[in-house]
Amino acid sequence: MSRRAERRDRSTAGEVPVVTEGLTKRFGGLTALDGVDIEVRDDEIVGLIGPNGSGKTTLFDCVTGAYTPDEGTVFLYGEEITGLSENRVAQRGLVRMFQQTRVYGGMTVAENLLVAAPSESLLRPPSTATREEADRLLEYVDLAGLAEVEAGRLSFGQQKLVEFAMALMADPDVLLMDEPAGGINPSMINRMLDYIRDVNDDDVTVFLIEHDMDFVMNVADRIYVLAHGERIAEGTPEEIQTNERVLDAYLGRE
Amino acid sequence: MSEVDEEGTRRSPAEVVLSVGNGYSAVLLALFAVALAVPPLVFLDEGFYMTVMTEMFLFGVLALSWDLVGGQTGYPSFGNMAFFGVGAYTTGILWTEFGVAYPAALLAAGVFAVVFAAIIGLAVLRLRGHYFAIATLGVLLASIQLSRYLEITGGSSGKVLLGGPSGEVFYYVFLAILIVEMAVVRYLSGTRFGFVLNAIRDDERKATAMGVDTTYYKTAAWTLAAFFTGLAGGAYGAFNTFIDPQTAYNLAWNVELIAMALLGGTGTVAGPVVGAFGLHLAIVEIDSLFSGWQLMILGSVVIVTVVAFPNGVVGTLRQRANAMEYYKFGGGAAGESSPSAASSTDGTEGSE
Amino acid sequence: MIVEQLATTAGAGGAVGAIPLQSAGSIVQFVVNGLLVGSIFALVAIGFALVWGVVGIINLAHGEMMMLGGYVSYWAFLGLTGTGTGPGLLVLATVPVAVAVLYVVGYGLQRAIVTRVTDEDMFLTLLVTFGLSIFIQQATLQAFSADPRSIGATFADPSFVLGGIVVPKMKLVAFVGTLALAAALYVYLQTTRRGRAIRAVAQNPEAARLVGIDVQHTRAVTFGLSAAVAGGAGAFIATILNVTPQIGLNYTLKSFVIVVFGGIGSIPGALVGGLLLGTVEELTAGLVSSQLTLAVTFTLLVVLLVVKPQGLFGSGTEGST
Repeated sequence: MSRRAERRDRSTAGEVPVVTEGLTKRFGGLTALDGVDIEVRDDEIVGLIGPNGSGKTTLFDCVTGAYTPDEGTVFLYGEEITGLSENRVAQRGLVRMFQQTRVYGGMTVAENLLVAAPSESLLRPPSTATREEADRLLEYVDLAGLAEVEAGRLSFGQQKLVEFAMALMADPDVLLMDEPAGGINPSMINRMLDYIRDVNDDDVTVFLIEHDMDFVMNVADRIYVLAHGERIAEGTPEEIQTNERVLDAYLGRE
Repeated sequence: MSEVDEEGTRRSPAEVVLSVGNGYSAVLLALFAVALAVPPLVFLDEGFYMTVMTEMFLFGVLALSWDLVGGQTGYPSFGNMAFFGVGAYTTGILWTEFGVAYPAALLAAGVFAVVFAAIIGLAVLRLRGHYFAIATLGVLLASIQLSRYLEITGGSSGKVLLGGPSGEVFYYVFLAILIVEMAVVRYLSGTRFGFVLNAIRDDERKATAMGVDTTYYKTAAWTLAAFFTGLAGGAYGAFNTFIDPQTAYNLAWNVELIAMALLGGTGTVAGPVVGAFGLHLAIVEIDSLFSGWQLMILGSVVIVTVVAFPNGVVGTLRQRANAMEYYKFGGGAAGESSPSAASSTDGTEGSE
Repeated sequence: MIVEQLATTAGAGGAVGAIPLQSAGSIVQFVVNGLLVGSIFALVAIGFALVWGVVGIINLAHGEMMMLGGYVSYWAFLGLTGTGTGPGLLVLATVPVAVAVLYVVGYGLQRAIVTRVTDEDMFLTLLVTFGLSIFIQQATLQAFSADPRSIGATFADPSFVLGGIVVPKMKLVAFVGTLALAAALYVYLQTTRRGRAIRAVAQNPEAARLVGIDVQHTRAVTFGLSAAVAGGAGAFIATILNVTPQIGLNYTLKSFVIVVFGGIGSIPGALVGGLLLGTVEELTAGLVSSQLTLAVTFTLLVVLLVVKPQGLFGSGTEGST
């Protein structure tokens, strides 16, 4: 995988995977994000938490290029990507998973993975290397037997795994996950924690939004907290758990 | 959404045969081509039946082209006949006004249609769903009016195109265009290009988030469809010996070709072609019985098709095939999986 | 300056060039013509907007409702006069007939066919209504032939002149008449029980059902009303222009443009949009060529859709993403 070599070059050059400065986004009269500064450092797993409506997904959208921020800048490994289109950002190694889990419902699970491989030649059938990688990933997420099933027929949890495998297929440098623990049962949550740690061990920087406190405290190296579109806290899980402002925000005292 | 059993949902033989990108379908296509190439050599003389079959090939091209953008990419166009008309007039004008040799004029039809599509695509391919549909309809209606207005197209009177090749030649011309298109679409469906088109259809936002430049792919599919449709239009002019705004931009055919793709089953290679052959034959039959009523019947067929078979005949068969698999492996009416699946792949709360 | 695309007998490619040297007076004339015809566009579009907003479907057969209204009015007029010609104001007697007949047709169509696809993919609805459009066109063709029909309603003095501007009386009658119908519809929707039920269903069918509104019937009534106003517009059109079985589709497209501009389900928006479109078309016809009006309409449509899909007045729930 050529990108891994690039990644090592980028990180030794000291570039930070994701940086936002003063990120602001308004929708009509509503300010969804207000001057948010965050940094996701190399090989970290960074969590993003906050009460409902605090702007977490909007932050993701501004980083990935789904929205152009009204103010502020976004950097990917030192290069400015503010307002760059979503597909260009993804091509630069930043892959994003969705809260409501998006897969290609009319295609088989295997096809979902095959189409996620970015470097395939356009007018040829998928290469053997790609097929093998897809098989490997399907084994990894334990969905090998469902390879020929239409993705739309799968249960929510299975689709989540497909989406995860698709993200890995794209060989990301940075992986944005929007509520990876959402809507899945306890046995699967542990698997998900393992998957995230595995991918992080493989030099992928992870930035995740989560509501499940146990989950995020368990897996994150650092955590940012948003409330009403503002960054109100940053620190290790221990620091966050004892932070007064964070408690106030969640308990509605703010 | 219910659990899916590992064993119970492998594709049925019917699906395998109908699907593209595997060895079986290539052989089938070759057999299909040969089977259709034989009749004029052996027993079919020029005349009514040859004309009907030629028209079947023509509609096959139209329906398949529509499906490439509508069924495979998820952009249902209501204006594909605009390409047909552009092609028809291009060949007609080059051939009669500028003395271009017929084969070159024919090829030019495809080329001009592509250019036309590329330009129009800049505007309409940004639109989604019904906005796209209506905008393409607008293109078609505006094209009709434009061709009435311009002198070079002969205005409302159209152009007479005599002296073209024989009916038998056209039989093979249209058959060739159809077979080539089927082969191309079949091949593309197994490549990344084809997969991406389907991805755009299933979830364009996701495709974009995964790095796909959707505009590029949509434009490619759109212009490819325009090429074949335009080519068919170019051939049609001399075949019919006459074109005018109403025949070149035939509004009835415009909806007919969509109905054919729907009836036969969108998103497949065989579907639109089967639908085209079947529906055209049916309409010809009905016309011989109730002359002049074929368009009313067409309208009714469209209505009934949509109401009763939203997935088309082929599509409905595939769905039934899948359902059968469920039942066969012990699945219940709700598609519950067998107990063995629950432990191996279960990971959900069952919520959505 | 007649909006020419309705006539199926356009000349042989007619090289109509631009008329040079427009005086300010002519421009005003075009604008006036545009407003006069625009009210008819507006009325048709209002019906279209109503169905789209309340029943949630884009009815590609809407233009055919207008066309049928024209025929009904034609036959009614023929019946009243025996000769097919008569005093201009007599046409007002045929309008209610057209309105009533088309109401029934619209109601029936909704309950018989449209209701089966209301909840389906919008594309399928488009296809069904397109099929319906073809069916109705062909049936009309079979029944009445392709001969253009026109109501021979005339005034002794066909037009009057106001400050240098020629105002044809028949067009003025049509203008006032269509606005009156539009106003009547608006009042109906705002004040009557059924009108409130319609608006409730437009906002939230489930909630409407829960409070006891018969949603099916309400949708059918809406469809009927939509067809009725279109039919009324058709009745007026028959006095100014020729009616043939094929005139519907262009009006459907125009209605779409108008509604996209004015906002889905918005009657005021459709009114403004219709008047504007009429003006633009007349200006195009006068300054460039009457044969290019549809190209202009289409270009407007694309520009609108790309720039502002929510329209000016509408609720903005639909768009291009």
